[in-house]
Amino acid sequence: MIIVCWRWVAPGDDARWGGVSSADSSALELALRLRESQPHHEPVHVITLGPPGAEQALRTALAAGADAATRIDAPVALQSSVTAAAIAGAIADLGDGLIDGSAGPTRLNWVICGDYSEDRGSGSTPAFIAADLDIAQALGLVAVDIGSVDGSDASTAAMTLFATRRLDGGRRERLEISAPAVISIEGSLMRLRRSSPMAELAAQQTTIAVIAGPNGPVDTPQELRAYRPRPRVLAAPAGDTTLDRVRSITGADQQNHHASETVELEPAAAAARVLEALRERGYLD
Amino acid sequence: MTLTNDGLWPEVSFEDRMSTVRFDIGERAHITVDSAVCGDCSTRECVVACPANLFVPTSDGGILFNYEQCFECGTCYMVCNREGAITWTYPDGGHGVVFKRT
Amino acid sequence: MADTTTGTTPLSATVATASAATFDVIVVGAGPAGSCAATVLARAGHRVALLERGAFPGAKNMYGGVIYPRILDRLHPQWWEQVPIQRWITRRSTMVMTETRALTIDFRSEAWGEPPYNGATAYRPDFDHWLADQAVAAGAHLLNATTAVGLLRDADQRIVGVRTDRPDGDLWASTVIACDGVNSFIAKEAGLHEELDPANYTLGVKETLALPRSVIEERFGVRDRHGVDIEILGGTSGVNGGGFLYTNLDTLAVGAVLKLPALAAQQTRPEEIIGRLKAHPAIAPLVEGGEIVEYSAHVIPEAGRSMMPTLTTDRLLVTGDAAAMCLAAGIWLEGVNFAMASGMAAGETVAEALASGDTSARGLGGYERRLRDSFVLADHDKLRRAPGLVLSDRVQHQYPEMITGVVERMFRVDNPEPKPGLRRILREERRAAGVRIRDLARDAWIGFRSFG
Repeated sequence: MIIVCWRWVAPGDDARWGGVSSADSSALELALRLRESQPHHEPVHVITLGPPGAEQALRTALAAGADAATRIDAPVALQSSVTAAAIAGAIADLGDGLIDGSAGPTRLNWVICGDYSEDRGSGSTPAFIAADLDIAQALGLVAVDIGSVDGSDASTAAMTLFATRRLDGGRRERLEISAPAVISIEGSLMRLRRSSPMAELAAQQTTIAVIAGPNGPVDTPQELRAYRPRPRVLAAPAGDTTLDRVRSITGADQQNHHASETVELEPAAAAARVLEALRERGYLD
Repeated sequence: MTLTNDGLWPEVSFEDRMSTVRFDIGERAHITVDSAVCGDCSTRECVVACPANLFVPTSDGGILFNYEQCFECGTCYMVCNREGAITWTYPDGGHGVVFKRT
Repeated sequence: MADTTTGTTPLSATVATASAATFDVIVVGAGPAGSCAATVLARAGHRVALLERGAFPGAKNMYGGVIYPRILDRLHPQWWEQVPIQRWITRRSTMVMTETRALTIDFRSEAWGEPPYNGATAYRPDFDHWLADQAVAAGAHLLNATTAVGLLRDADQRIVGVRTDRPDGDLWASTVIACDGVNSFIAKEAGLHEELDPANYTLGVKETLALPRSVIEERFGVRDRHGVDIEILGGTSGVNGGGFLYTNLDTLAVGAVLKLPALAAQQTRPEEIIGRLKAHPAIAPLVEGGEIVEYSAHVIPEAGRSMMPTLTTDRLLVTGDAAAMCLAAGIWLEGVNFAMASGMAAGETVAEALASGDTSARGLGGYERRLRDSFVLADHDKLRRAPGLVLSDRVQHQYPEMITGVVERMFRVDNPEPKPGLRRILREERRAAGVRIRDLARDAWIGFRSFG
């Protein structure tokens, strides 16, 4: 089974303008293509949190080819960890043994999420879902090689995806991911297919499963504003001539304090070193 | 921010004006402009009339056209008097302008 | 004329087959006309597909004015209890404006603020959405995000359906109702329109300005959900057209309607024309401090009866703006009501034709009969010369100067000069504005014939 997790957002709480991000749409398209790349029919199940207005988006998913859809009746603004727990609970409820594979041929292979939502939260929900389900995660994928899915015998063979993940500094990481895993992908990966008129009309008649979700706690974001680094007090550049002052500002003669540093430490010590480095460079008080 | 209208209120920039409108931009350019046909047009009706200011004259005498922030109103093809200069269709279903409070 | 193809590949000899995608009627466009047509047909038990190219009905729609919904009495009794409006119009002003002067005729009626009301301001994405919801409740099959790209024809060139831009998007039906708005590609493809003349069209541009509800009510002198509609002659920077300003609940709508050839022939851009209107001394205090929350624009079919296409052909009807039914007659500026009425008439006609099994032009003949018997064609016939008069250079440029000049002289106290006689003022102001008596008499006669 492939689960697609959507984050449905409606600006001003008006369902007419509600929808999901291009990354979420992309996630469904990937699920459908994964399904089509295999000889057997692997069900695709779409889950979102939200009010009844969110069902219109789920019907779009059904029209595009998803096999089933679940709406968790809960506020959209829940904290990421709570959202993830609700989704993980809904997945677990889809069947005993689904996750550990003891249910036979239908086992959970992929949980596919968009890398970002329409309201651009922290992007942490997929990671929380992976933690809750206790399965692997591969987040922020910019390319997925569907051709390499080994789905000849899903009941026994381990399914494997080859994907590319974005790292800082324009670097890329090639990953080999084995099912079951949570993956999140970017919106540029693929566009969700359009559905036929008759599929659209049929989807309007389909019943969407609704399960009760938690009511809180909700995220209360701070005032929204553009990112601005905090100002730092800098002394006037030293030097008598213009050239000296320029050299002073650019640090041309000085040792580069901002060079990268590679350390091999235990996680706790590594975290402490990161904090220390941030403090040294003025990013933390 | 520049003050116009005798300083009665800050008139917004055109970019800010257009940013009040929601566009779900489709992949396909639903309007195309044949710059070759525009080359010898001196009247340039589209440039002044398009409410979204999508027609921009280029230094080589052509017209640069952006389809993304189009109101789908129809002004450009109606005022254009050059056969074949503007090919006008609706955007693919579900794409294009989304009005809210108008 | 520019190439206005709809990107449709002509279909040759496409043969209709019985399939799941078969409907009795396909209604193209879920605006006021389409939703009313679909409601009537669905209630009559027919299988109706209602196509909407926006993400939801109303997403593509804007206007510059007031909805007069009394035509809904029959279709949705007690509509005023449900319809999502902004304010009920209880104050209607007509303003004649020059650069420094303004004459306003201001009327208010408390009766218009009570059921069954008269007119209302509304956001079209709200109103049209509600109207389409009624069609869906009646059983119509609404297909959002679906653009009709052309008509399907069989080997005998009979219309048998509509091609949409979705995959497997052909929809079959014995009748199509074109409610696709002013650009009207379906009716154009069917050859029902004469060659396009830009002089028949105006561009409507509009700003929605946010202001606190209490400020709006103070400035415009209204309470509760009562509102004001100001229609303005002049104030469009010399471009033939008109201005408007009306109140929503917590926003104002201010904008201009601009005759296309006149707009294209000068150098002031549409948003600048709105900016100058907003800066006019008669308008500025009303809109001051309003923050733009939406900017919108659309073309309007302005010429009324003289530009209407053939309304009926075999298996196809044209309604609303697609049939140029917008009424732009100066003191009367209506459109949504004409669209709704024509949609209802189309729905009733097609239901009748389906029952009798004849949806040829002859079988659909009841459509024009219904429109002639109602205000739709009666008003347009009577006012067929009004749009031309209103957009004429004299009405646009000379008469406002003359009229406001006369009033200024009447109320100006030039002591120690004695008051001039009205006849003298009229004569002098007429000459100052360059109006010839012969033209004035002829325009008065057209006006009298139209409005009288």
